[in-house]
Amino acid sequence: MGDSIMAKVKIQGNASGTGVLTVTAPNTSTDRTITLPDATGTLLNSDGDGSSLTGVADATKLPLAGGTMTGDLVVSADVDITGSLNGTSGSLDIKNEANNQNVFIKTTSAGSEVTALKIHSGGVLELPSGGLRVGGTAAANTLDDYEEGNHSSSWTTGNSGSITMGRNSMAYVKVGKVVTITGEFDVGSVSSPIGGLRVSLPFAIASHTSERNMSFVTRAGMYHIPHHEDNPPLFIGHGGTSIIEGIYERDDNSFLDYNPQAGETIWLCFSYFTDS
Amino acid sequence: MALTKETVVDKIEVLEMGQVQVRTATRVKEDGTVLSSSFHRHVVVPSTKKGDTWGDTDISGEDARVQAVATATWTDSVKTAYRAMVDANSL
Repeated sequence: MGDSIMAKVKIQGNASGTGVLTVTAPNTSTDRTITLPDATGTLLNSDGDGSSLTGVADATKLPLAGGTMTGDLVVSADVDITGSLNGTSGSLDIKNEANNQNVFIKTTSAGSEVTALKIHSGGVLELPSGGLRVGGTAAANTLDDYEEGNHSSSWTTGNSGSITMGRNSMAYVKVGKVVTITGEFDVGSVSSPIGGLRVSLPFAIASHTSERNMSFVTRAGMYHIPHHEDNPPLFIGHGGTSIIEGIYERDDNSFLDYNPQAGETIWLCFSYFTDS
Repeated sequence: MALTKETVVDKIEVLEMGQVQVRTATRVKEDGTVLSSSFHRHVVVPSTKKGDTWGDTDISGEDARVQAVATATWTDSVKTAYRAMVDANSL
């Protein structure tokens, strides 16, 4: 064909046949090149003796190893990475550009996929399980729960009689193992109370882990405050129970049971530990 | 656009000494999508003391699943252990 310019060159097998078209290198020690007839690019080069052909590097294509991609990578299926996803210059952004969609970071546990972290489109950061470990690697360094809610407290006597409440709702916030409650409570009526006041709590008080280290006492604010020996009532909580008890301190004596009277209003706000 | 409200016991936790912590969720939904939810908590204990006398806790007003969990959990040994713990911690 010489150097004449051809309009087209087409090598094509019969679609229904089984034959193989073979391009055989000429008997020469020089490199062989197959060049597109219109000289738009070189496809393959021989590598020495001509037994095999390799692709010619194309600056617009990313090689299997190394190279720098300068544009976005769009993949319609999973990207499996056995190494790390590294940022080497500037920030490393992981973002979901789809509107109102979330970002998930998942792991595999016992063969099952587990959502370790979910970032909602509105910005909420969700740790479905496990928690946030701060300042160490022990369970004691792990913040694993947050919850806010309400508790309809029951007000009873320690033995007999009855208490009828007006307002009895207490709000709670639980952060880790610490529960904080708050509320204002109205005593409607009291009938023949025997035994000290018991007020239920939203969570059980933690069991002691050393001596009586989960016990606590708190003082309420009261309207029509009662006194005994000039002492206002206190509320005491014991490890493992789910109530606080009303008591009076006495001069050089044991505690005395406290029971409310109709018309009293009691404000409580305190924190305690729970096991869960 | 149908708004619905539902109340369900969505968490039942059994603690070491047999206390059962119950969380009740109230959810407001629009066409099945939760618009808001709130929690209510209470605790049911294995045994109840009146004066100096221990007795079984009345759980007849509890959710059926709470009753099932409590009944399965509160063996005689669990009740005994709970009573002993409370008595040991009392004044």
